[in-house]
Amino acid sequence: MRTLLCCLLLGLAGASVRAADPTYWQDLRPLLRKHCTYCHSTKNLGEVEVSGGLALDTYQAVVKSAGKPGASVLLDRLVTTNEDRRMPQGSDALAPEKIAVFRRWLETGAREGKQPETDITVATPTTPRRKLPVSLPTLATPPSGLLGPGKPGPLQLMLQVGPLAPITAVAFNPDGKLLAAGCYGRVTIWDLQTIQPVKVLTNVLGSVNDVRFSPDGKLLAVGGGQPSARGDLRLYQVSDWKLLGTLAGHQDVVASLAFRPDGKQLASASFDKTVRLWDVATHKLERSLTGHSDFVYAVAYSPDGTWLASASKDRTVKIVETASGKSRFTLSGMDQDVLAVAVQPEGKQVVSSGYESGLYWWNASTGERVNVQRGHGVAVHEICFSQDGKLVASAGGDATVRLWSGGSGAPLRTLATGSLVYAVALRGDGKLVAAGTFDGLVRLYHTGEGRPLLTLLSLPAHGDQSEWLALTPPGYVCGSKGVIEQGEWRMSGNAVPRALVWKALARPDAVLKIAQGTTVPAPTFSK
Amino acid sequence: MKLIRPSFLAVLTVLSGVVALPAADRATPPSSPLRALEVLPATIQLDGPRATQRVVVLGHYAEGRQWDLTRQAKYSSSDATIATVDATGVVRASGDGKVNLAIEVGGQKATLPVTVRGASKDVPVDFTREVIPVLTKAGCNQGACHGAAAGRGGFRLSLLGYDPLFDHPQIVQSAEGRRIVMADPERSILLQKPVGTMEHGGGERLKANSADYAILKRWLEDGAPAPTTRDPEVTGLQVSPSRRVMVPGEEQQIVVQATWSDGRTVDVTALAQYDALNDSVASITPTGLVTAHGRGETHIMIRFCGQATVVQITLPYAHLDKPLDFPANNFIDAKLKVKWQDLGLVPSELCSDEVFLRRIYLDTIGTLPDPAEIKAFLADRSPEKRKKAIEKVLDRPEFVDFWALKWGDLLRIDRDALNDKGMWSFHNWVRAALRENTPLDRMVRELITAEGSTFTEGPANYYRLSRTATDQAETTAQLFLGVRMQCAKCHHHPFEKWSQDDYYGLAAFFVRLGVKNSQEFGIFVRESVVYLRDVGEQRNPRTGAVMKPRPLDGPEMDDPFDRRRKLADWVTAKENPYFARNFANRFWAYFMGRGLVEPIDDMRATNPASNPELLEALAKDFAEHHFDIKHLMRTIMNSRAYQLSCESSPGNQADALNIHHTRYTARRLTAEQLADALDHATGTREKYPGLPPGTRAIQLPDTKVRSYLLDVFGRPARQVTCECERSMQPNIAQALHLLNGDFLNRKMALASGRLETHLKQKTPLPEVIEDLYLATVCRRPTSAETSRAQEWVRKAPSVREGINDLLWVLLNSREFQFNH
Repeated sequence: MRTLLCCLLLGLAGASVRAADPTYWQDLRPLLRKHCTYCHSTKNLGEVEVSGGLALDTYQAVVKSAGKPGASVLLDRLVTTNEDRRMPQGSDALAPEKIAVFRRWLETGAREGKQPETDITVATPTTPRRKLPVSLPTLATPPSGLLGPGKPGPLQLMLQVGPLAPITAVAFNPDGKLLAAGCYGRVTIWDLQTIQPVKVLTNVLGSVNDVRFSPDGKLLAVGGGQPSARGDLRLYQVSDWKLLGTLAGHQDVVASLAFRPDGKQLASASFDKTVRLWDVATHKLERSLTGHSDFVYAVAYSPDGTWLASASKDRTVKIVETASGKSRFTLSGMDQDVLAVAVQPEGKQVVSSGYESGLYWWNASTGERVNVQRGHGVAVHEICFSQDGKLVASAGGDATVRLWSGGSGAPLRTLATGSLVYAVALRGDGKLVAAGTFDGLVRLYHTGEGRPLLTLLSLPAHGDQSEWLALTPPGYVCGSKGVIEQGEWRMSGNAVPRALVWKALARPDAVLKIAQGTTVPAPTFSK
Repeated sequence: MKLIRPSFLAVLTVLSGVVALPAADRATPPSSPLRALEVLPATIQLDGPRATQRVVVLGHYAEGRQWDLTRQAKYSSSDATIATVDATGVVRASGDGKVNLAIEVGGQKATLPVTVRGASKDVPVDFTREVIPVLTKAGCNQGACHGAAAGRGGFRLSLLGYDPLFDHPQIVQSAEGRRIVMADPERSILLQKPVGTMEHGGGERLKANSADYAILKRWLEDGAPAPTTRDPEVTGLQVSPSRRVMVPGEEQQIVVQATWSDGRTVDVTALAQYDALNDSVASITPTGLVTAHGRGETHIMIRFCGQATVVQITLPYAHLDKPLDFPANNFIDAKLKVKWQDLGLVPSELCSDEVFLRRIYLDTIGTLPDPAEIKAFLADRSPEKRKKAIEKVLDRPEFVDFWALKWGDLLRIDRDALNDKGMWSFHNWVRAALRENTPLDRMVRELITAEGSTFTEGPANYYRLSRTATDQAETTAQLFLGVRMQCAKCHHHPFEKWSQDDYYGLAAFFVRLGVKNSQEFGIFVRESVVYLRDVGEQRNPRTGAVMKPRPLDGPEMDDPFDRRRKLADWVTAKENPYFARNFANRFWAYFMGRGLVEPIDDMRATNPASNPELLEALAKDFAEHHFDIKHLMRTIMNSRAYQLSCESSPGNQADALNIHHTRYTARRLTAEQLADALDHATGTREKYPGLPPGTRAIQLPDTKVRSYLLDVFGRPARQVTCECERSMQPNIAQALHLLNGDFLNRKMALASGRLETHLKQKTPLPEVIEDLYLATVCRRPTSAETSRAQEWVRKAPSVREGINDLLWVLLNSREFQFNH
């Protein structure tokens, strides 16, 4: 059909086409992006006072509105001397050479050309050009004099791998054996029974803002995208990590995902202001909820799946019926963005949080605010419940994960992470909590004792070969060969002989034991 | 593209020794031999791997002129492994060591020592020092964009980057970190939007792969390191050259260096913000290249990281062949003369005795001289008669009335805010101070340290007009120091060095003031008592820090009993850089019609005086004479400059706004002056409600006394502390009120009035005509005017109607309605 259109236009223009002639992808789109599509985009079609009901961000749309070369409305709008009509509105007329590109493009048949590689390829981040040191502290303290004359103190592992991409999503699978962690361009699946990555998914587009396992554990949904450009929503089959499909349509990044408890529907909240509901089996869009007036940051289903709660930059939480799309309540009263929302497993209460510090508890059947728990003092980025509803975990901008009683909302425990927490997940049984932090690490804690268990690090790598590391507080480490080989140890700021330390600390068995909650004696160092 | 017109033969107009310079599109360099090269800065020190320094080369010519040779000079480095230099004169570090930069142009040579340190060090990009200036230069954080209080497009930055600690999380973390990709910096919308590869409401702000772009990219590669509370601040800017005399079409590159609080000096020519204060005289490009256009003098404002300074650009109006012949009455004339000589301006002639007398009466006592006084003055043959007249007018009782009115405006004395009793008590205090000619420093001290009942202690009312510590700080700064601090309440002042710490440090002097009600005069009288509390601290609302009392640019100071005493000491000290200058400028403006600094209550480094040397000298003289207001007035009025005609001459008409005071600035009578002048001319007295008969407009205690005339001629409401509140704008209602209204007819027809008295006394017509001229425009009519007036009266239906018409015409003349 597109070819047909081109032929038609070609016929009209009657001009011969040369390789150097302008095409949509090569020449027109950069111009449109710079001068037109901030307002004239599909995203803005709903806001007529901004877009005038015209979108110029797809080839088809541009061809449709361009008109014939001799009588092109689009061209006329660029060259008219009537300042009220001339585009771009409120700025100087486009330079003549840019207008000439438009004209030539129309005259030579409005060709689409080839979409540039960088536009379509999955953005696998290249290894950062700079290698900044990443320092990982341990409690391991070798005896005095053993590692040279330096002052004895706890050892630090130094890796020249920074800066690491912030961890923006974490999720346990239903049986708690797998942990998925997402950062820009990558999702690492950790096997918590062996403490090593089983898979690194790199076929995602841009940032990864949320990862969710389906209730039956068979699917993994990954949401993200290119900020301010397009959303990316993918479904993977957990058994072999095959990409089952891409659920296309979001105009800006997907910020949050939720599976309906029956597993048949997936909700995606996006910065394009919509929440979309997808049929998990067919990957078809079932409904688009457009009630929010700004970025939607988070979405969560009620236990029976009849309604969902969504949190937005428009400073509200909305409770919407999933079958009809009808809004039940708009929970308001916040002065700043609402970043997170979670529904209590019994479905009676909803908890929200955001830039305004505090966890806000709402009665789900009346829309009344029933409780506010302060504590973090700054933004709270994500909230989650344990399966039994007894425990709530929150991800704080104050570099802490806080645990709260799921019943009374009372604070239980504060876990210091050392870096802003973007993502938090509780294992189904509520015994483990995982935190994804700005410094690019995943930290696992034992919720009962508030004890740190593991720090996980996954690095970008080429091909299937993944570089990774798991570190325990006593200092026991396991990791890929590359990481172990380049890792340097420091004590009180001074480098110490590596081999000696590795001999004592490279102990996958000890790491595993600690991860399973067993106590392991402190490492012993010997020559 | 620059339009180059064919040069044409200059037409030289010779006007009494003035050679008017032709306008030219392209300036030609001096034709005399090049004598020396001046290279700015004089030495170069490059610190760190990304350090650069722009060089400016100024040629000095035999005829005394200078010319920018920066773009013609050839540059070379003696060792490119240490420093390189490009064709435009920008030096870059490449390795540690010392090197000489050779500069050659027009047969002259110069060398410049360059020291490079830390060139190969791996220093991460510093957010405060390197990233914020790039964002500010690109305009990201300006008030109309992301610097707006609500941000733009969901992205908010602190205005002009004054708060790096706020900006960093906004860029790095807000909206869940969507703006940056550290692992792949060029994917960041922080970079993609401003270069236009991604839709951006603000359009293209950065060029891809420019130096600024590279800094942002490198900062992301470095892991987007955050600022700390201990980051250095900019403490000063040095600009070279700081002043230039230029010709139209001439260009001058400037170089700006910033000194940081950690001691290092950095070239910020490419990052500073430039604003031409008068584009028609000189404009500037974002890279600091000044182009001179039209005649006059202007300043270029230069801002960088909270500091601001100016460069003065002068394009003389004409070239004066010989020194100005202008006898100086006092130092004012001497200082003005230097400026006029530089600018090629020729002052107007002295005004006539009649104009002089009317002028000093209006300016000093707001009153017209009566016919007998005028006749006596004109008859006086003494060479000192102007001096004597000034002394006499300063001693008149109306002096107290007229200046109490001015102070009433400044202090906003008003019955609605203070109650009747408070208003009278404040008004009477001002009158007493003026009657005794209390030195200004003592008056201000009494205001600043006032306490007690507002009904018995006049100055205590000062603290009822501004009711909060921050308001009191703002009012005190604006009134007594001429500094507008209001901007710094919410953010760093955009055109000044004042920060929120400066603002709240000043407010800390007033924070312990309290006001309570008293029942001494009965419970319904609403008397207030201003008192001091023992405790109370001022916090900076942004940082939450307790602010120690600290005056502007002064040291921290405290007083166990009353902090304001220390503030009063500081404000009124002879050495205070603001106090004397502020009042010298205000009184200069009251007498000369225009301040040396305009607006007169907006004194700041980026709003320099038209003649800084004169302002300095006036302030010094004022301080040395114990802040005696009458001395200041006497000095101004005795200057020859004050006594010049208001008519422009060919030698000064080019200075259309009379910025340099080459003539007297004519202005409409103020509302109160006009009301009293109308009374005087018609021989009547307006009755003001609630005040004894005979009370004059200049004696009114506040502006709540009903009078349509005063309102329509712009008396201020006394609601805001600003000289601009008194409106001098013309409007149609003013004209109609005097031309058509029955107001004038009623006054002229009064039996006790001037006209009826003449008719009753059967005064001969020529004498009536002379009297009417003297009572209105304060001069005798010319013989032509007399005969025309006689002719008119003779033709009128009656003498009464004839002279009535004559007075009506005089009252509606500009000569009457203006102080000229």
